[in-house]
Amino acid sequence: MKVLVAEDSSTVRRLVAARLVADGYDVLEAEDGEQALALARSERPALLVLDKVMPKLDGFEVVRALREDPATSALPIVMLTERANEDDVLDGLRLGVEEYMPKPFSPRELSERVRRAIERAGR
Amino acid sequence: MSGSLGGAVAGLAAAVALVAVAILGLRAAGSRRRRALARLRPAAELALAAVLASEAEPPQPVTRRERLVLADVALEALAELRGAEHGRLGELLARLGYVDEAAAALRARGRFRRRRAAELLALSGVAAAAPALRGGLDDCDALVRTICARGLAEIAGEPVGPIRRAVERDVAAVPGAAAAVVLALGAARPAELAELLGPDVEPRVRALALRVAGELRLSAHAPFLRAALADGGTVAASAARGAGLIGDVEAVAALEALVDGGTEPGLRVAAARALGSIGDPMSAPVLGRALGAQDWSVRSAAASALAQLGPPGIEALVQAPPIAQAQAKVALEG
Repeated sequence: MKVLVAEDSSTVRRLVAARLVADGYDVLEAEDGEQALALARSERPALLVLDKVMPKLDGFEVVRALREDPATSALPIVMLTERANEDDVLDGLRLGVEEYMPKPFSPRELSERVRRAIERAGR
Repeated sequence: MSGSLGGAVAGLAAAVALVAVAILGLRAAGSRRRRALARLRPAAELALAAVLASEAEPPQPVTRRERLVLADVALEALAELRGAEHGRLGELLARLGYVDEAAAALRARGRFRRRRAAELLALSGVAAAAPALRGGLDDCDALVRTICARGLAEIAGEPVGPIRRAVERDVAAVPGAAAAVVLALGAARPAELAELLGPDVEPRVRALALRVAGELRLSAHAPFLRAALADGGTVAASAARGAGLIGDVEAVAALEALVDGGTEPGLRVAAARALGSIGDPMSAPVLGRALGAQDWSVRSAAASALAQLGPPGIEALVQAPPIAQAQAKVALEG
């Protein structure tokens, strides 16, 4: 099962990818929003772990674009964000983000949220 | 005469050329060093990621550059992580000797070296870093002191008194760093944040702590926030904001008094916003009166708050006085 990790920090991206690989997923990596969008459309992963702040397209712009495309509108998304304020969380929920992980984050907790989000999506 | 002048000019030109060559040489060396470090980075990232995700063998950096890159990557990872992985990474750094190295570097002459060392010790979160961090509280550099205070704030069992004194000493010089200390304490040891909330605490530090208590929704500290509402200024404004974020219904009467009878626009705004967050419809009359305030920010805050109170709030907006028509329209359309 494929999971896409979109995060501009190579350190964080590799940490998350290693955790998800250990959980048994095939992990794709994107280092900016445009790459994330392209991979989500071409590879059709089971879930997207998405950083909110990224170059080229930020996390919210990626979510909007995915939700507007019928092929990716149902893709479950777990968003990584700086200590999230209420407005950010509400914006994300309105756009259809399944789970919010504020940074600093626990990779074990992220792993569990990814598993639950994929289960809820019935994939 | 012209010969000696020509000689002087030639000498000066040679000196300038030598300096230019030296500068270019240093820049080239620096660029080569950065490229060499960048080449080492992916391997360090993968190695650390594997250690944290599984039981992989920890990396064993051999060269000075490898140790430097591994420390950089570990610092970045420590700042992004919490929980078990954060703890394991801190222990790994201690096992590889980084904590001892950083403790020694905290006594270096250069302040940038001491700041980096303090940052690694603070982020590591290991108890072994505590003695060096305590020593760093007496550093001559305000940033080193506050970084050390932040590290101690996250180590369970460390007394809050020295942390408080460090923040009170440096809150004026480095307010952002001081705020980071208070936030670290509130997040790691929420009950002990109480030691920064009392009336005897330096007002700027107290205002930060009240703000943190609200942002982190530490409802156990609601009595401190209520008590601070009477103090005026930024302390009361921070307390009002916090009370709103916590949703403290017991603070409603005090907040209404600040909106109705307050003279500081900033405080009236904070109190009005808090009443909107708490959402008690009985606050509608007070906020309705505030629609007639001379200060537009008070009118705007009152209008936004009324929009959050349901039918009584909407009714007050519909009947807003002429001076508040613009704010009421924005609030109704929101």
